[in-house]
Amino acid sequence: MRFTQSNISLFVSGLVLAGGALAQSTSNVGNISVQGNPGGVDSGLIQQEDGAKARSSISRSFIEKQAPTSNPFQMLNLLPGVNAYSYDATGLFGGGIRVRGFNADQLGFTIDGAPVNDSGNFAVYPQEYTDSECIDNIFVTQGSTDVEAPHIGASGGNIGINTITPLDERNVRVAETVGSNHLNRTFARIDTGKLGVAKFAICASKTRVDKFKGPGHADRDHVDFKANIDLGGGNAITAGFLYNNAVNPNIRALNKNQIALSGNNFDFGSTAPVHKPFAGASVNDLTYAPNVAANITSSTGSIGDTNNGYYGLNLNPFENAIATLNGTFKLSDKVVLNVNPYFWYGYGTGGNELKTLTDVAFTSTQVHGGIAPFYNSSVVGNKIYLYNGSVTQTNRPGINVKVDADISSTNHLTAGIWYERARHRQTGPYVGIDNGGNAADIFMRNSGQWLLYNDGTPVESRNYLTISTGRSEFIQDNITLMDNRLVLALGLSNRSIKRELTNTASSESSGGASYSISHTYSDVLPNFGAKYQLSKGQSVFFNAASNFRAPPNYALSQLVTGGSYVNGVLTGWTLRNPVVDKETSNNFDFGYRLQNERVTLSASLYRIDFQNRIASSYDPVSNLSTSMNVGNSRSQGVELEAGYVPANRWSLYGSLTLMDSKINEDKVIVQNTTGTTWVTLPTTGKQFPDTPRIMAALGAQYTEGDWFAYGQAKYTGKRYTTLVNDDSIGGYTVVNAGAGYQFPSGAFFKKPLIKLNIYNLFNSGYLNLNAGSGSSFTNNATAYNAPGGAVVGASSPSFYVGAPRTFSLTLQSDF
Amino acid sequence: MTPVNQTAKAEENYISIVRGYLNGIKRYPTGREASIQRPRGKTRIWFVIGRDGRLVDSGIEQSSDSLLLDRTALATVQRGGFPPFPETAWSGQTSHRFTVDLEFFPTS
Repeated sequence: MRFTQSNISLFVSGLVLAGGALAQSTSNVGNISVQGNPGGVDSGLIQQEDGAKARSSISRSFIEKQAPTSNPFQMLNLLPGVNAYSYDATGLFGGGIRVRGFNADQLGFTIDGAPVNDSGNFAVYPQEYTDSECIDNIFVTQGSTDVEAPHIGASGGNIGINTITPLDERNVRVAETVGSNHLNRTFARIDTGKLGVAKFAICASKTRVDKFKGPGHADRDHVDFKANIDLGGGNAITAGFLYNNAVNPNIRALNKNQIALSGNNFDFGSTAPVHKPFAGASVNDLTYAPNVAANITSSTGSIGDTNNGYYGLNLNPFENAIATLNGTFKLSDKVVLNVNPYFWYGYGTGGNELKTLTDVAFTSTQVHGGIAPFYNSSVVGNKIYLYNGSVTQTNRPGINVKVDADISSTNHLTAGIWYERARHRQTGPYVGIDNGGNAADIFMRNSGQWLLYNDGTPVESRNYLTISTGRSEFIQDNITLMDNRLVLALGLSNRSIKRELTNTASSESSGGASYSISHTYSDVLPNFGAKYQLSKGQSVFFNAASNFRAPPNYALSQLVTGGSYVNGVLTGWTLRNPVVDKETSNNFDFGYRLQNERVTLSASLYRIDFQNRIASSYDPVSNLSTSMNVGNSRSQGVELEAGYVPANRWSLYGSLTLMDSKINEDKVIVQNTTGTTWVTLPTTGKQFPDTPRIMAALGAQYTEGDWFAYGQAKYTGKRYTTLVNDDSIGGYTVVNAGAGYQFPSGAFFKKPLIKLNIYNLFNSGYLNLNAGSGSSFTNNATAYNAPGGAVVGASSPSFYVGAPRTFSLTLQSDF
Repeated sequence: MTPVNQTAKAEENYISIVRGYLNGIKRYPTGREASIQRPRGKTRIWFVIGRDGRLVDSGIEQSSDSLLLDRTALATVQRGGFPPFPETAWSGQTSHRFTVDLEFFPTS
């Protein structure tokens, strides 16, 4: 017989009692081991949530079985409320995500607690972040933002990506992945193991994959570093650093006409644009026969022209780095201080970079005297191809400080502050391209390459510097009542962002004069949550939370109106008032959870009331994208998820999302086709675009000994593509599958693993709406005949074609 | 069976019921902080159960150095519903004091 601690203590206590001695001895019940992911076979798609709001997450046991190139958006796609898509199967090109209809730039993203949304427009680029091997877990709070989360752009909830802790034992892991479209990825991870009180892990990867259609490939180099220092007594410091350098080309978004005419595989062409030789007479590259023949651009190309038919000038070069520090200090038995400083650096450009400019001799009536001559000649009026994109450089230090205190055994208080100052430089320089289609500098870092205006300043398609100072003060009180059966969470945060934008006169429309403008957006956001334990395995919860999102910084750009140029400088202009303000939402969840050895189930009903939902919309008449207020809207729905372990070795997961998302007002006003009158579009009662009424997901996993296999299916229902709901795309199902086998460890190879991942097993064809940012949607896809006879011209929504069946094979071993 | 053995048996049974129960409701903490920190540690909880099964008192005997884990461990015990003592167990005592170690492991 093996004597465990509890057996012995039981025996001792029995003896003591039998002797009739001490009335109060103590019996030890023993050791209870609590795993982060319970259950015989853990799918990693659900955990036993305990909080008073809707929340879902994925963990390593799911992440480690997926294709190693997967980005966080792809990996979250099976969770309730989540509608994610990727531009390709690998995830290297990025993609989109919506949660309860909120776009990525309305959700607050963090990595190890540090915010990663763009500090200007809140955009999120999932392919830049941590390698999947280094992600421990990703969580989603649908509809409401955690009170201590560092966000001012999260009107629809938050998503946290959290990286692995370095291993206690020294380990080296190397993995090689090959797959469809010449995928090649090399990954290595070194864990130092415990070195005294510290342990370190470093991961690095190099990946390359071709586009699944059209010419071009993505390159990505990535490094993750993590250090963990245990100072003892509840004091610890964790430091993280990630660096990413990637260049990926655009995959062409197509409208339905283009798909009908040229098919799903239509993409950018591979013929590089060439310059018409300059021989003493002015030239026009646009109408040069080889370029016309290659269909590189329409003959109406100008600043802002996007008819770029060449793949090599549709690039997204981007470099970023994030450093985080997470210090936990136990001040007393009841008080813990958390200090989380971070620094975010980003630099890059993107979009369609093939642009044209026309040179002139110094012209008093143009900004900066017009574009300086290209050919060092008095012959001007040359229209030539150049490389230009919106360059963004961000330096963003911030800090989150929080104190957790047990006020009493039933009252737990969290309070803290968050502060950050983002310096966001946004420019649009131009550099030359050669006749092979190569830009002089795709990152446009080298100012020596920039084209100049006639007054000697660099040409810029936009030019602003924004200082965004974000802050929040927050407090949350968790009160437990009725023997811990009832938990109340009362929270309050005061969030604000001050945007100081300085515009320098550039060629941007309504940006031709220099000005500075400052605007502060703030809100006090209460939240209330309650959770009641009905029985051992059943609980209910209720949550009410207010969220807010400041407008993007570009709401303060392009405000110059009127005036005329004198000597290259705009005079007599005025500053238009910014038109959009913050958007706010109130989210209510009511949920039920069932948790036992075999079943983990969560069901929630939700309702979101949205005020002043900001949409940015393309107006075909003015040829401008404008931010506008689409008014009030409301969403309501049901989210259901369940994990089930029917028998040993099997694990099942399912989720169901029903969403009804309606616009409540007619607030979108656009000009008619002839520009003579304004028309209010009928949006009341319409579904919010790109928000399916129904989604369902299933995941099954089988593990036996050294084998595992899984299958996943996700159904995404019909989605409208315009604000007036006159166009839609049909529902689709994508099935993914994978399997892996771990060989016995040998003398040299430890835990060698082979893994196959297949995306879109049944090769289903589907479309996803290209809804660039925020609630950016096409107004109407067919001409709208307003009462009274005015006609509003149509514009075509564009779509990303779903990637076909794609596989990847990974060989991995530890050493 | 001797009375001593009977008593020991009854008490052992009771303790194994408590252990089984706690095993059934144990839970790794969730929420933002738990997801970011993934703490690891062992908390020893003391608790006193009355003969009628009612939890009389409870507290932390040995901290894991993580407030989050300590709180989770204590809540696990406090949320427990325990059966009355069998007649032969801890006879003569109106209540009995127990300890339990809850050892938390994040996903490896």
